[in-house]
Amino acid sequence: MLGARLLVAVVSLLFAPSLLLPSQGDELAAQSRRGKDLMAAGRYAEAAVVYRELVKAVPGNPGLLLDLGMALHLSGQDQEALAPLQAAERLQPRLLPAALLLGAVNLRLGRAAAAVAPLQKAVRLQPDNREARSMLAEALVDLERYADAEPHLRRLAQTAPSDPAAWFNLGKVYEALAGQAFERLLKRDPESPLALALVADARLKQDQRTAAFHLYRQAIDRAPGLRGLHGAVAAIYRRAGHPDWAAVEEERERGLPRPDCSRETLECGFAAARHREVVASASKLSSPEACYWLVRSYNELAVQAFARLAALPASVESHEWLAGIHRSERRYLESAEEWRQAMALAPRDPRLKTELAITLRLGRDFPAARQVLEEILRAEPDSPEASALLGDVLLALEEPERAIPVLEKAVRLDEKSLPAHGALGRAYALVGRASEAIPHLRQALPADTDGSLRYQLARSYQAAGQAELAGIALKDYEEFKKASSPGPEAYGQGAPITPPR
Amino acid sequence: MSSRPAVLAVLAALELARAPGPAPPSPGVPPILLKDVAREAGIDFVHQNCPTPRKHLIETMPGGVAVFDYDGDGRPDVFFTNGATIPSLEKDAPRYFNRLFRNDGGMKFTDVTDAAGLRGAGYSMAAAVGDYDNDGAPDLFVGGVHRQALYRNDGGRFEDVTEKAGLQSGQWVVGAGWFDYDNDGRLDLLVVNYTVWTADYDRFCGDSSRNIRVYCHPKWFPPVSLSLYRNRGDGTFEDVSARSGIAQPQARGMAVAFADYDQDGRVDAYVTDDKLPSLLFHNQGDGTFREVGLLSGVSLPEHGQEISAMGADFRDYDNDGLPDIQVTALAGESFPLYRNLGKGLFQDVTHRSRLGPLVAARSGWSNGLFDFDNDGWKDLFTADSHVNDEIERFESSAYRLPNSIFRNMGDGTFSDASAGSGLDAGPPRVHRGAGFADFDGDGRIDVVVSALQGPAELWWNRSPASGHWLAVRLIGTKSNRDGIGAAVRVTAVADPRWRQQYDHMTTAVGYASSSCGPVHFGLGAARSVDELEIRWPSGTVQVLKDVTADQILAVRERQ
Repeated sequence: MLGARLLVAVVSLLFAPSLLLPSQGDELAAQSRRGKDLMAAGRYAEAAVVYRELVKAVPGNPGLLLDLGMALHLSGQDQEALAPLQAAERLQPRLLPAALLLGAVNLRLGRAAAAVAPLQKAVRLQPDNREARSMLAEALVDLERYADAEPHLRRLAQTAPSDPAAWFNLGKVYEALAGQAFERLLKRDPESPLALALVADARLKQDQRTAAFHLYRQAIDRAPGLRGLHGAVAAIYRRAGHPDWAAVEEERERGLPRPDCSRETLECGFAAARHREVVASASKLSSPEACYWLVRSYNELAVQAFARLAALPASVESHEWLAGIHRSERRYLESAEEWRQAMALAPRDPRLKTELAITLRLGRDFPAARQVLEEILRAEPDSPEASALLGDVLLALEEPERAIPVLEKAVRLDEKSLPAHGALGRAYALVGRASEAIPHLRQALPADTDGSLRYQLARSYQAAGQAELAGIALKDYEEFKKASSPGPEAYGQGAPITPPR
Repeated sequence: MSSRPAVLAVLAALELARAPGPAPPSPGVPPILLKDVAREAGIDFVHQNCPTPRKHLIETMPGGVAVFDYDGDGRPDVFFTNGATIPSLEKDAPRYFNRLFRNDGGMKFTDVTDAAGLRGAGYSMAAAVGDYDNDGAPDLFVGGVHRQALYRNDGGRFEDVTEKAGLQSGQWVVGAGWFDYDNDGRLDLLVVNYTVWTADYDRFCGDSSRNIRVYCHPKWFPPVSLSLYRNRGDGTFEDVSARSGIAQPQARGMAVAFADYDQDGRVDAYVTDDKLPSLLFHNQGDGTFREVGLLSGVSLPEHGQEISAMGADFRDYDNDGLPDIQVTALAGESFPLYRNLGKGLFQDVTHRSRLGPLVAARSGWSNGLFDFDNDGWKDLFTADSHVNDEIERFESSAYRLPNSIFRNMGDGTFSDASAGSGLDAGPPRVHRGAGFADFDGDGRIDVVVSALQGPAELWWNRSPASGHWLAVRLIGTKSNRDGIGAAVRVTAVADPRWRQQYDHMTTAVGYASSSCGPVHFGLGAARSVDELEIRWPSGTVQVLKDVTADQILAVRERQ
């Protein structure tokens, strides 16, 4: 939430002593006061004009450069704000507001990498500055440097335990770290019993007991001494109504030797719930076992963070967390309700509205999704994401004529958006503009997950009278479908849960 | 088209501010009016699909209906397939019997199931009517779960001749249709099989955290081969599934519809497919078929995504002489309309026909292109409901729905004529099969619809000021007795809204259902037809001139 942070920065600067040199004269002082008055009145663009004059009149003054940069940023001219802020920082490297604003401006421009250095400096200069630390964590998360973001987020949560955003962000980072560790494990040893065990855990969480059962069995076959697996199988047997089978597996679990804590420190640490210790130790190692315990520890830490969030009064973050869980489990109606509750608490946050629109779209409530997206676009007419989403919804409502101008704009705003190109191509094709559809469909092909874009391309070539290319595209579609067709093992209910071997 | 993006963006913004809605009815166009008279008519059938907590997939798929004049009295009768107890799949109580209702005239019906010998056995799903032995009495094929039966009509009493005919099968049948693929004057049978399923199938599908179990998505079930049986002419059939090429593509087949789409004198077959590309079998004329769905453009809607294709009708909706294909599907998938362009190619005109936005939120099963207001243009009726009885707990779609009717505007587009038609007067139901016929002989097409766990509906067409009509009952001599496969063209200059109309004789229409009636034409203002042309499957062409309207005309194939 940059707005609030910047407000704090503005307030602090307005009441800061003027950085004008004392000998600058009455006229400049009057202009400086005018600038401050305009800033206080929220007339940032006008203030920027005043500060430009002042900077021209008094070049090399870090305070004026800072004021100019701030005014430009607050009036939405972030690109223009960079130069004066960078100049101010160069002139006065320990100028905290300049570092803060540089970080904020770069974040707003989507340049997370450029935001890191100034924000790190801001945090060094003022370790208790929550805004600086929060923005730094945000930049690091944007760059997927979750391990670097974690200590900052942890400190934010510890120093303000009643801040829901702190726990939410911390929990999300732990989830991301668990995911990264799992990816490393898969890369090192894709057939690893440890990986199988982790996937089984995930399946069990989704209540896919049969799938989990077979995965645990495979893991046991490969690593019979791996503790916890027989216990997991026993739990599945119990839920399936087989206490006798469960007893067998529980006995096997008990029969496994206890871990030697002088050697198996990670396992012992996990069992003792010393998850942070496990993380610290495992992070220095590269073995599959280390990755395994990293995944499990990070998952536990995530659970703990979200539990802290859940214990706090309802907040935007708690609703967002629940909305995400519901959506991932295809409970779109419940998810939409949670997004709405989050929006009620933060009505000006466009991101929440976008998430609501996405959820409504997934739940096939196209008219409601359309309404929300139109609201977003009224407030932010140049949002490429909202434009692309609205175009997609209009296509779902079978209104390609209305979708076309929206999608044309989406593509103009974000030329790299493959979904926007794909949707625009489809819209053109639907209204008989096959030749115009073709280049967009071709561009979108890398995003073709189900072959439909390939098919649309073939049909567009056909309609445009390019029969030979239509034939090639259709062949491409058929080969794509063949390659992605499920094998016989995909059908049926899978192997049933069987008794202990 | 303007090339000024800014202007377009502003226009788009203004357009977007308006809420979308159905196109208003054209002024001066009389409404299509339908009234459910099932109860008064004596049709008291309630489909029993035996829903279970385990949500067996077969429970949501049945409901086929057949309409045919079983006793030759000139009035179409109604046959309903019915379910059975699960898991035994036996009709162990009368409430599971298939039922036949005789049309007594005056929109009154009598249950004659027992007298006709049509209680059936097993979990029945589909019905297909065809006079396979050319004795003048329409016979009945009933397909179901792991069982199919052929009933020979012996003067109003039916005999199960399945074994004699060589038609035993353990497949799960959801559709079937009769057509003469080799033009030998005898009807052959294409059977639509869905998947492999047994009663001990127990995959949990749904949301376990809320303990909501739903019918499993078709992706969990393997596709299987279709079946084709060649009529030997001696009461037996030969399984030519593999030899003909029909069995080659694997499908989760749903419905079949027939037409000679390329007008080469050989009837072709279109089979809808559940979450797989639908199939168009081109009749090669040498006993084999070539699957050309993708090439022709009828396998998938224009967006290229596989849909839950349900019912099909293969008829000329735009009076250009070429049979088109209309398909139903689930909410959000649209009901594709493929216009026949000739030369073996079709175009998805769902959007251009304005059908797209009208059906975006609807889910449909059985469908039929028939002229309900007799203005010379075939309209579209769909029997609607979703497949998932818990859908409302997951997304913004409805399970129970009223049926729909879309008026053909005669300019390539359709308008929604459902509101005010009477279809929304009763409670929404879980509609499945539909049969089309003029039950009271007044020249207006009526519809009978089945509903799972609900009473069947008999929609009596009361459309006021509907135009003149002509029903052509074909009697084949060299061709099959029903005249199935015959192409019929009527020409009249008296009504400027249409000059020529085309149809063909088929009994395969909709989902799991069959309608064996005369070929019906609405004639609008024309009190007579200048020319009636029949192209029989045998190759004989018969032309009748100055045919008076408002009659059922029996035409025997010239020898």
